[in-house]
Amino acid sequence: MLQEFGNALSFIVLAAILPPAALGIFKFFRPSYPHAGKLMTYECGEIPKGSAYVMFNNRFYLVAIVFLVFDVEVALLFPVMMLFRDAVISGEGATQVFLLSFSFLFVLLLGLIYEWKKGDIDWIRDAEDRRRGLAKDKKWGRTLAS
Amino acid sequence: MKTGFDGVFGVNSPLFIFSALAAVIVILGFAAPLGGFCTFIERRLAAGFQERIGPNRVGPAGLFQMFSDILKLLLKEDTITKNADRVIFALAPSLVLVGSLGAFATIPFTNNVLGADLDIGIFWAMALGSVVSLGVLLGAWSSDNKWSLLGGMRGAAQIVSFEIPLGIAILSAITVTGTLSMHGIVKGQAWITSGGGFWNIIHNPFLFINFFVYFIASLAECNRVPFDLPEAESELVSGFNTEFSGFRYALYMLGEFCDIILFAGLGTAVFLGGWQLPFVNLAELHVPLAIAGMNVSPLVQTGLMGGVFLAKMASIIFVVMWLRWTLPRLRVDQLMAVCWKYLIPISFFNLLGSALWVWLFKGQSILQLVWAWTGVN
Repeated sequence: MLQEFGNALSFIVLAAILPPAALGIFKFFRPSYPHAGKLMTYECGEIPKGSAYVMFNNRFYLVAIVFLVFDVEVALLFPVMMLFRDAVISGEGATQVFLLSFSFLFVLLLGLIYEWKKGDIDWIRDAEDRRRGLAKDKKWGRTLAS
Repeated sequence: MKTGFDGVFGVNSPLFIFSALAAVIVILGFAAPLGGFCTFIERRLAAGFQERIGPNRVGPAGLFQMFSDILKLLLKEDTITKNADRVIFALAPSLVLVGSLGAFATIPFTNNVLGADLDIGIFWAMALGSVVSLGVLLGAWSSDNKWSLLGGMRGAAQIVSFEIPLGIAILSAITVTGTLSMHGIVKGQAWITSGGGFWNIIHNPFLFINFFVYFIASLAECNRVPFDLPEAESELVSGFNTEFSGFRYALYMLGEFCDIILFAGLGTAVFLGGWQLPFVNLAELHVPLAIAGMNVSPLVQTGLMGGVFLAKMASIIFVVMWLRWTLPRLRVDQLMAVCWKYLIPISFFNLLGSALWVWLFKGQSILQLVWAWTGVN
């Protein structure tokens, strides 16, 4: 078994070595004439204005948090589902396995439904707000809290 | 790979590295060029779908196109902008490749040609498939560019969201196979007379639907149409790979194509029965043929099994490429809605259904039930 993991590690190591090796070898064949224009950040031909680390919408954070929860759930369900079939065929404990794992799944499904209703997995909140008939600010088009 | 040298080159031997390298060189020497070859195939197929001829000049019928492409890109100047984070900028494309090629270790091409016959094969493949999102995000963040940043965030959000339906679809197949080892998964899909349940896709109706959930999720994982927003040339300049030029850009594209091949291979192994064929068990086939006094039956078997696996994989890759020139692109909010509001509930429901099926019918597939019911035995 350790041998197999060693093989798998060699895959990773070789895949990690390949790009730097290729770039390193061809460094001697590549031209390199850096000048200020080439080294500037690309902004459609204009001079870049302001820092590149702009504020992005916090829905990315929400997506990441929800993903985290569900990914941990999937990872924790892997061993359970693997043993489920053996439990069924050998006849002992299948009910417990099923009920425990699916109540776990069910709790997380409830979480998903909660987020859905709150609008956390909507990319644009406009649709949700329109549905609720909320007023919109005339100048900026922003939804007003009401 | 079971090289047979475990005694000489076993774990405790200082020459252990050679045994490992043999497997790696054979399979990576196949996988990475296959990724490059896919770029050529894609261009030819695209041309076919658009009623024109693709690249056909470079070699015989254009087959050497990938070499000329890679050579050109290697010889381009490697500019890294002044404000970019050099270390991470250099690291990011490698992460994409590490993710896709590292997971190749567990793809079961045949009975014995398997990079690493891990007990946790499918889990390993999924875990390494997740590293790709790191490569996208780090590449976007380190290139000091607003558009790369936004494109990379959207790309990473997309890749990361679709890993969940992917994982759940695979989980539902695991309820049926009872093992995480890829070799075991394929063995369990043998023809009925050999004791298997035949292909997982027709094992039960829930797995049938989950195969399509898996397929759609893998399209999104690889940033393919209809989910190729990160690659959309008309928006966000060029997405997360704006600042990458020359060979670094080629590494991202190579990583994406290797990802496609990886997910096609995983789908084939988990859902489409790997190297299993109906009516004949290739693992137990004995070809009474001898060349120069040597029994070449294992060689023929390996060739057949590999051929079957590659044919199935190629058909999935063909459909992926076909879809690129067929479907329009989804908007980012539609994309997220597809994942969270459609694929996840559907895959959850099918996971539940698959587990119930295994419970009720003691893990037997539809074909096995029909076989037992008709009493043919």
